[in-house]
Amino acid sequence: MIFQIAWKNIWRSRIRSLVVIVAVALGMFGGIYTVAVMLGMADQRVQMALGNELGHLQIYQPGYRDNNDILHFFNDADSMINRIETIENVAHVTHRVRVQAMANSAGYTSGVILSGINPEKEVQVFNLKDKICVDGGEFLTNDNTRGVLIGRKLAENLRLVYYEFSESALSNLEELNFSDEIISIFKTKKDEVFRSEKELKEFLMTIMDEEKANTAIYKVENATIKFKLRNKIRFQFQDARGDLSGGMYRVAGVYQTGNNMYDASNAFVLDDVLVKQASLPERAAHEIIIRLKDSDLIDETKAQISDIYSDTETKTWIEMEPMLKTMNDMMWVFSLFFIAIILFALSFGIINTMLMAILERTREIGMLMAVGMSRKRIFNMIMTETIMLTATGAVAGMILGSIVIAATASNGIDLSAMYGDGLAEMGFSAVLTPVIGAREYLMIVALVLATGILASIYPARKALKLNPVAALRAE
Amino acid sequence: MNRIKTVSLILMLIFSHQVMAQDAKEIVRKADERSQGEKSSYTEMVMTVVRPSYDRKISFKSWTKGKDKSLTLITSPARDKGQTFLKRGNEMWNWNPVISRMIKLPASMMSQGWMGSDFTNDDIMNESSIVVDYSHKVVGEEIIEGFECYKIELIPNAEAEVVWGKIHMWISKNDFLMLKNQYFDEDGYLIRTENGYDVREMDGRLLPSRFELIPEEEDGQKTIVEIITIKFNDEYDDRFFSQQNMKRIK
Repeated sequence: MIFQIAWKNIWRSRIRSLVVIVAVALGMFGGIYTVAVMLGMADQRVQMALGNELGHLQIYQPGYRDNNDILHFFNDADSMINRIETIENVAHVTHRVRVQAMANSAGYTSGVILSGINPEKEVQVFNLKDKICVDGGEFLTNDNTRGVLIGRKLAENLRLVYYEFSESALSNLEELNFSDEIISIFKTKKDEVFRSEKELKEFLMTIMDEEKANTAIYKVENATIKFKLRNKIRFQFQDARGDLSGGMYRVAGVYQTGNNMYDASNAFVLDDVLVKQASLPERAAHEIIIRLKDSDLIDETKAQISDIYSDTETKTWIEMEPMLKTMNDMMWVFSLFFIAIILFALSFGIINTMLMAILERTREIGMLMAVGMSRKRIFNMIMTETIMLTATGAVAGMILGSIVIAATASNGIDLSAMYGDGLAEMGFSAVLTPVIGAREYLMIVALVLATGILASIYPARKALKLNPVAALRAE
Repeated sequence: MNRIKTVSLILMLIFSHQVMAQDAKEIVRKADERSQGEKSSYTEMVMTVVRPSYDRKISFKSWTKGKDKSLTLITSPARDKGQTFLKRGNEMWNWNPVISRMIKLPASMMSQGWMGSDFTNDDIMNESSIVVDYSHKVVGEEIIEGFECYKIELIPNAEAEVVWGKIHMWISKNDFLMLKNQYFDEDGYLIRTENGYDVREMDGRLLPSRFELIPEEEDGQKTIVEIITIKFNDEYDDRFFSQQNMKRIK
């Protein structure tokens, strides 16, 4: 009964109610969408880290993580892997031999972590194989004993790339929004080689102003980059005996994960080759990496492994990169704050509207009281009205939000043109996919309801304080 | 008749080619011996590191014995004075009196510039040999610094631990002085140039007394080393090149 009256009351002043509903709807939409983008960003970072960098679980010799000491290795990684593979929740296992090395190309050097991998197992745990750049060669194969897989940033640092306005580069650039004039200048530079990012940028600065060049460089770089595959890299490192060791490799492939820091400091070669160069036992490994079937059972699986190998260090990805987990949680807390502020501001609009509604209906409320409607019912009526008003707007906003999230999630929001390099520098993907989970949705719904209730108290109390006699006389 | 002609022609070609290659290798070997083949040496040097925004001068003394022992003492600037570097075989140590620390230079430091210069620790360690690790060919003759020089092209052997694509060396015909080296990457781009200047007689030997190293792709950067005095073949005990002596030497 009260519900029907309240609902009808809302629509007595259609425009006024609609204004509030639209305000709440837009507020909710903005809030939900921003939250989805923020959560999506954090989630992508986590997925990236899990898929390319960490895996779910890693096992080390105690102390290895402190200083990456080459001597903290497992003697027989193969038998450990075989044993771990029998655990129920374990999907795939691989191992890595890791040394801290110096990479030298002709005239340039860079410090890296050189990992020896088993290509077949590696691709089951990590998706680095899918991250090979366009025209960036191929993933390591078992017969490529002198091949090395390097990150794109490392390739740039070692000057193993060049930039060229080739036929395909020009057609790519034409699809981006460069003016015809600029494209025609690019065409005059066809087949001229730019040896470094610096050279390319200097050229851009001659044809456009600095600000434009700064934003254009990223696009032009991506379109024109060419990798010097098969070029030599020399790695130097300290072997297990403490002697200076190393080897020559040729670039087999170039990958790009989207996290520049990772790409600048990780190179991969075949494990059996590296093991020999580092004077390690044949089946040695520094880390064992596990991908799980169900990541929610991570703690249980960790406990199982710790039971079997009690003298090792088993770490979950959260323990290894607590930052990632913290970031995820922080994003959510920020989001809640953000929504709370929106709702707080909206609540004033709602209170205002309801106060006006009561002022308008003073006589009516007085009449209802006079004919015997209890104060409690009056209070409930006003409250229901307010909550319904808010909820209608909120539902509309959420529906709108869901539709837009679904629409943008399939293709993602591409920020690469504006901030791609900066985002990659921080380890974030340049294409954002907004996501929002059921838990987050429910929390937001609860917040909206709470706002509705809080906003209704003041107008409802105001109505209660009316004196029926005075109210009836009011004009 | 014709066949004999052809065969002898082929033989001649092969033979002459081998002689040429042998010659080039021999020239490089002699030049290599000349630059570091003495039994021992004592050198005082001043190194100038030129950067776009500043110049830095570092003076040091250096003792060497054979190819694999050397001891270097920094004598100025005051900040670095007393630092010593010891090289034995393929290991290198650094003693820093300010912090009283002896460190063995790790692999990760081998590619860094020595004392902030364009010379890397790796250059000083000099692991690869310009004689053994390359195949050599005389590709021309040029006059450098008033000396008639062979221009020799060095191509690294397949298994050599060398990142260069090729090296060009200019070696004087009469005295086998290395007057100019150019280092190229695998695409044939010039990455680094070394020049020797001011050839004069020092302790009875003709040598360039000033070297400069120019990283070609860094604008306004180079490193110049000037030899102030040099003495050859004094007797040094093996114990002279020890960690104890690193702390004592003045």
